[in-house]
Parts: sequence; C-alpha cells; structure tokens
Amino acid sequence: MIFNSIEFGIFFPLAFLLYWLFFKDNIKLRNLYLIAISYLFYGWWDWRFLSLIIVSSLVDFLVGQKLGTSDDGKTRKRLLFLSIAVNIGFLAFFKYFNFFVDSFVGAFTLFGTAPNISTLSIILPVGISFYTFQTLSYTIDVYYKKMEPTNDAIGFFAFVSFFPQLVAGPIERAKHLLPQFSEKKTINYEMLRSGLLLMAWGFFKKIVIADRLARFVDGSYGSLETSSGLPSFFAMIFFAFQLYIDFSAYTDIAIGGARTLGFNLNLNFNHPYLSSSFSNFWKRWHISLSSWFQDYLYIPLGGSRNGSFATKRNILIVFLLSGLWHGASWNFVIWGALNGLFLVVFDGLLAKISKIDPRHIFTSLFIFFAWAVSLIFFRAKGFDQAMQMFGNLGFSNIESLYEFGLGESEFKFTIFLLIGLMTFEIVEEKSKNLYEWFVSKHFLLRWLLYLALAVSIILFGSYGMGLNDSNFIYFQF
Amino acid sequence: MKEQSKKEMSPLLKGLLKLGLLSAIVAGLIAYSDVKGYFNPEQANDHTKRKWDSFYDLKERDIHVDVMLFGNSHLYTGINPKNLSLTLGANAFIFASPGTNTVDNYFALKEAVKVQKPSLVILETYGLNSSIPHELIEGPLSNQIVSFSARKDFVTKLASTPVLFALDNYLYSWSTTIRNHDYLFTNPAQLKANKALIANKNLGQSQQKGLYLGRYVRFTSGIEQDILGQYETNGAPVDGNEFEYSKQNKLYAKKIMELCEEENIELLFLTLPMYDKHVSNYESWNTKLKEVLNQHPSHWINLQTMPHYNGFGAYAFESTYKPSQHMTYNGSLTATYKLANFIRDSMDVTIPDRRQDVSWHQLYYGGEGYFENYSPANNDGNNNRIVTNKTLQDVKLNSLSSLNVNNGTSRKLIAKVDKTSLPSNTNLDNYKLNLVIQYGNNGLTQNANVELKYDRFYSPRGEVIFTSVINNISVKEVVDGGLSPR
Repeated sequence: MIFNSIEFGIFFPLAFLLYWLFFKDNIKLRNLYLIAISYLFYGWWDWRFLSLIIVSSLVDFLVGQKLGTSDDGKTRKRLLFLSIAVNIGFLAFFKYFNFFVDSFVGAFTLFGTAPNISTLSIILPVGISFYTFQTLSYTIDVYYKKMEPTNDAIGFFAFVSFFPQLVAGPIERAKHLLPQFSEKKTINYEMLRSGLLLMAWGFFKKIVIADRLARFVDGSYGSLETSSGLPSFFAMIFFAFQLYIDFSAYTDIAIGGARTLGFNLNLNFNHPYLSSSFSNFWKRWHISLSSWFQDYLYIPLGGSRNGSFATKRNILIVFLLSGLWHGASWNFVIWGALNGLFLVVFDGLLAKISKIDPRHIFTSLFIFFAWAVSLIFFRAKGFDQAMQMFGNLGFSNIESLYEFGLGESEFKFTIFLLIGLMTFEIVEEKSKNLYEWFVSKHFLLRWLLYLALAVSIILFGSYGMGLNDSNFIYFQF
Repeated sequence: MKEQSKKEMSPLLKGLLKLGLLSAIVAGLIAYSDVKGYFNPEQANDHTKRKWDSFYDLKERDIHVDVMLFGNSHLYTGINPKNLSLTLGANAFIFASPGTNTVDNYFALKEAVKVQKPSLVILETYGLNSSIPHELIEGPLSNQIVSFSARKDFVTKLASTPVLFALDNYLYSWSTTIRNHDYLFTNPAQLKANKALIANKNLGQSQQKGLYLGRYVRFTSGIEQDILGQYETNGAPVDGNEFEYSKQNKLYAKKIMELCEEENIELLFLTLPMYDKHVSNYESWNTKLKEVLNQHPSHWINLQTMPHYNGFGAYAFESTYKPSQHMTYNGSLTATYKLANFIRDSMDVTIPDRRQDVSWHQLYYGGEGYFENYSPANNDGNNNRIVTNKTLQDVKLNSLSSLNVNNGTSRKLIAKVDKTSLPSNTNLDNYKLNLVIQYGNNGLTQNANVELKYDRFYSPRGEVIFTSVINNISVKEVVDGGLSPR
C-alpha cells in the first residue's frame, strides 16, 4: 500500500480510530494490533514477502535474547554473525544476486571466457533495505551492550514492522523506537494536530510538487534524443528537487502518521539544500541512513582516528557501500563514489570559501549543483544513459522546453512552487520554531491554511486518469 | 473512572470533530464546483448527457417511453429512434453511450426503468464483448465515465460505482472537479467558457427542447472503393474466431434478462450488422453469442445473418477497415424497419398503439420519417395529401403527399404503394413509378408525367415508398400511373 493511494486513505483513518478506541489501554494487545495492521499494510503489496519480515524479526529477537544471557565472546560473535548473515543474506539474495552474477560474468567476459551462470527472476521486496538495517541495529547494539535485549517478542515484532516507516524509513534505532512500544500511550490534541498537519504537508509536497517534477524528469530522460540542451539541464536540476521533495514527503507522512499513534520518529531531512559543506549536507540528508553508516561502519572502520589518509579511505568505503545500498547497479556505486570524492576533495576548500561567504549562499549552490550532477547516475538507467545525459547538458533548445511533460504555464508554476518551497525552508531554518509560531496564530488564519493545503492538493495535484500511479522513489530501495 | 475516560476521549473527539468539519468544508467546495460545472468538459457534443436530460424531460412532459434500446455506438448509429417510433406507433428511446458494454447497459436500464416502465427493452449485443468494466481507457474522460456522469439517479449510481470502477477511479467518476482539475493548466479555455456559462446562468440550457430520442448520426456515406479493395487484398479485418466475451458481460446480460422478467418487460436482443466482407468466420462469433443469449429465453434478431442481412450493402456501413464498423444513416434506416417488422411479426409483445393519439402525432409531425409513415394533416399549409387509395394500372396507390422542401423552391412527392398490390418477388430497385399528375398553372390545369424512384430505406407498414423532387407546383390530382422497369 502506498501513502498516496485511495487504499491508504481508507486504511489509515480506520486503523487510527480502532487503535485509539479499542487498543490504547492494553500494551500487548495494542502491539498485536500494530503488527496486524502493519502486516496488512505491507502484505497489500505482496503478502508472500511478509515471511522475510517475520524471519528477520524472529531471528533478531532470539539472537538478542541469547546475547543477553551469554558472556562468552565466541558465542556472542557467532550470534551476531548469524543475525548479520540472515539479514544481509536476504538483502544479498533479493537485491544483489543478479547484480553480482552479471558483474562476475562481465568480468570474466573481459578476459575472453564467459562462465555459464544464469540470473534469476527475483522480485525486490519493497523496503527490504530499510527494515533489515533497522533490525540489524538492534542486534549490533545489544552485542556491543549499548542496550539491553528486549524480552517482549510482540513489542519487538511491532518495532520491526511498524507500518509508517516500514518501507522507506526513517531507519529507526532500536534504542530510540523499541522502548516506545512498551510505553502506555495517551492521545493528546497537540500530537494529533501536528501529526496530521505534517502528513498533509507531506501529501502536498508529494502530489503537488514532486509528482509534477517527475513528469518533466521522466519525459526528458525518456526521450534523450530530443531533450538535449536546456531540457536536459532542467531535468538534472528538477530531479535533484524531485528526489528531495519526494523522499522528504514520504518521511513527513511517516513521522506525522506515527505521531498520531503516539510514536516519535527521528528527523530524516533537515534542509539539506542549505548546507554549508558536504559533510554538513550528509548530516542533513537521509539522516537516519547516514548516521547508521557512521555508527555501524565508519566508526568501526576507525572513523577519523587514524590520520587523514585513513579517514579519507573510510569515507570512500562508506560512500561506495552507501551507493550499493541504494541499488544493485554500477550507477549507484559511481554515484556513491562521486559523493565520497566531493566530500574528500571539496570540503577543505569550502571551509575557506565560507570565510568570504558567511551566509553560505555560493557554498549551498555549489553543493546543490555537484549533488545534482551526481544524481544523473542515480536517475539514469545504466551507464550509457548517464553518459548520454551528460552529453546533452547545455543551454540550447529552449524552444522545446515545454515539450517534456509540462506545458509552459505548468512549467512556470513548477518553478514558482520550487522558489516557494525553498523560501519556506530558509524561513524555517532561520526561525527554527515556525510550527509554534503558526499554532499561536488566530484560528481563522490556521483554518485558512488547512483549507488552502487541502484544496491545493485537490486542484493543483499532479494526478489523474491519464497519469501513471506515482510511487515514492525510495520504495524501490 | 468514568469521568477520567471521558477526559481521555476528548482530544480524540476534538480532533475528529475538527477534521470532520474541515473535510466537510472541502467536500462542500468540491461539490459546489461540481454542481456549478466549473470543471465540466466540453458538452456541445455530449450526446450521452443530452439523452439522459431528454429522457427525464420526457417524463416531466408526461411522454411515455414504450421501447427502450440499450447499447453502445453501434446502436445509436444503427437504429433511428424516430423512424422506429413512427413505424411502431409508439415512443422508442435510445440510451446508448459510446464505448460501453453490457455491464454499463444494465445500470442504465436499471435507472431508466425506475423512471418509466417500457413494454419492450432492446439490447444491442455489440456490448457483449471482452471488455471489463474496471479497465478504463486512459485519458481525461473514459467512455464509461461519460456514461456514468450522464445518469442522474443517485442510488443507482452509488450501487453501480464498485462494479463499474476500480477503487482508484471512484472520485474521478463522481466529481468533474477532481477528474478535470488539470484543466487549470491544460484547458484554461474550457474553464473560461464554463465560467461564462455559469455567469450567464445558461448551464443546462444546452438541452434541446422538442423531441430528442437518442439518435446520433456519425456516418452519411457508405464504404468507399479503397476499403472495398482492402477487403479483396487483405481479407476481413474482423475474425469471428477471435471473438470473446468477458464473464462480467455474460453475467450482466443475464441480470438484464432477470431484471426484465422481474419487471414484466419483454426483452429483445438485437445484433446490428457490419459489412459481410468485414467479418470472417462469423459462425464462430454467432455460436459464442448464443452461449450468452441462451442463458434465458429471450427473443433475438441477428441482422448479421440471413435472411435478415438481405438488403444491406456497402451503402449501409461506415467506410473503415478498423475492427469496429458502424452503420450509415441510410443503413440505420434499413436496420430500423427490419427491427420494427420483426417486433410486429415475430414477437408477441403488447406495445401501446398511439397512432390514433393526436398529441402523439404532434410530437413527431413534420420531423424525421414522419411523412414516410403518415400523411400530412388537412390543416397543414405547407404539405398536403393529394390522393388516398387510388388504384392505378397495376398497383394500388395508398397515398400521394406533396411536401414543401428546399425552403419552398421544390416539392417532394411521396407515393405509398400497397405492398400486396405489387407482383411478388419483384426487385423494386429495377422499377420506377410513373404518375400522370394534374397541377395548377396560372389558373389553368395541366397534366405532367413524373417518375418516382423506389426508396428502399423506408418500409412503413404494408407499404413501399416511391419519391421524387419536382419544381414548386401545386399538384391537384393523380390521373393515371403504374410501375415500369427503369
């Protein structure tokens, strides 16, 4: 089930009402209910893959239990290995099997022999990269004794499958989210209001802005033979916005939805396009994944403790693996490598520039363009298409700008929306407590905004019978 | 404890109430826009909407519909409702909507019989195909939505929604604002036109008063040489062996049969033809069609098969090599009179005979097909009946009418000859009717010979028609006449 579907529009209000009316008082019953609705939410897409979530949850719960009772280093290591093997094993098989086979065959073909290994028709289970990382964080933390293992199997299963963030994050740490499943929940109006408003804002961003950008980007990437020049340039810029708005919209809906159920999820985006450096960008972009890699890969590799060369090497390893996490293709590996290189090469220079650019205007713009360029590898289907896109970039062909999914008035409207969104982000970044300011205003003003948001989604939303269902981009990971 | 739980509930109630109020305001705004028609599509050519508007209007005018016909574009191009009404002496109405299927026909019938109960329902079988109602054709307005939107009964529409549409399309089917919201960017001219229409309070006045019975002519000329050539070189574009029907269409054909039985309405299935060279292996199609139609005892006239196909030729069909071939205006007239004859001769159905009802004649008087079926009234200043029941040399002339045509510059003579007076097995295409007429000219009476051509498209009850267009003269009498080879 995707958030921007009629099915979810029916599912969520029902799930929410039943939750608060019948399941709020008994924690065990409530968690059982959360498991049931989460499995329904996930199984709507393909119920067969629920088995993976169940096995992952079961293995990690049992490993956690055993880790809690064992002090033997070898046993503990074996248990951790078991958890990693099962979770990464699922990921490797479902996500990377064909990629590794293809790459293996390709490498041998270079030397003149082509081993006869077949690939499999494997469907990638939605959200597998997210929930495996989330459940792994639990066993790793328990292994390193950063948290106590839980004895509450129902709570743990509910933690792994919690539907608002199950398929595209934020990747929650067990330390933060798991205890919330043992808490008694009481509904409060403020939590409800802020949660619903965040959800509405997420829907607005997704349906009105991201899906409109998607039409131009898809149109342009879909006809690279004719979209050279300015259309390709705009496709590059628009995709950088589309990816951010689409993913942050999902996160807003996830955080807002969880909040209405009494759960607090972590921030996943913090105005990344206003960053002062590349390292700062990665503290603002997909925060839950960046911090996961930092805690469970970068720091165990040695982090920045062993000198400049080792630090840069560790950064590059993390970014290469982060690229591979996104997708089983060399394009994602190149994308990861490019971003690692940006950080390693440019951050020192940007630190110097910020002395003459204290507001980070040029720095932010430079980071944005570098990021947008790297995303060509992220968006293109294969290396050849990425190269074709690079070859297309330019400022000619202005006359065909409106031929790729957005007519002139809609194109201009899209630019207006982007300027509006970025202005909002700047104000939000500066003021920090925009929400508090808003809720303190007269109810007429607040209701006017609620109404404007709802009507805008309906009237200006990029949806309709002639358009394809638009999934969230990060669902594919 | 009770007091406490009441307190705990209040944030939820407060939130729900506010959310409910907000949703109601938003829904109200959308409903307001829908009712006003701000996002209506271009409606000048929306004959489906015009049909339903007209049908409800007939009810208001106390005009009873005796024969209801359901189908898709094949029906509204293949049957002429005014001619059918005139030859039956009843009121026939076509509910066909383009691109729809039997499932859609069922809900149209259900709504129609709520408003008026006919004596006879006719279902054209082209909608019995492989289409599945949930599979909408992409685009701003699918055919099924056009048909759904045109209907007016809320309860029937509500009941049909889950059958006709997938969940994702519910909102599109009910709200033009949601369905066509993209007009803001893609069709601002339509929004402007709608706004002007609303401002002028003219919305809804597109419905034509008079008598609209659901006819929609699309093709006026028959199959052209290039298409005939394609039949010779490429064979038929439609292969009956490939015909399939969906289980939904089969089921809803049965539901139509059951509904008619419950309502005590006679049901007739009608299969309109395509050009015989347009379809190969028709027997296979016919056999599969029988499987569906034999679910329940009902009448069936299949104009694609002999002897009913007799008389159809290239003139009767749209000039196309595409699989879906419609009928021309003249083809529809042939089909209409064949249908009427079948109803009269082969069905035991009681349809009200309104031929003695003056107000019924007034409805149709002077319109399409009227004078081919009835004579001008005595008080008609423009058109007049010249003779009745006159025996000529070898035929009996039931009547000769002289009609004002081409804005009074010419007269059209319509001679109705008693069929029984003609020699049997005569191919009338090879004959003409010669009449010696007497006419007035500057106070003098003169005779003239007039040749009238056989009009094969019209077959009124027991008569054949010969016509001719002559100069604007005042014809007074038929002196003599008879059939002769052309």
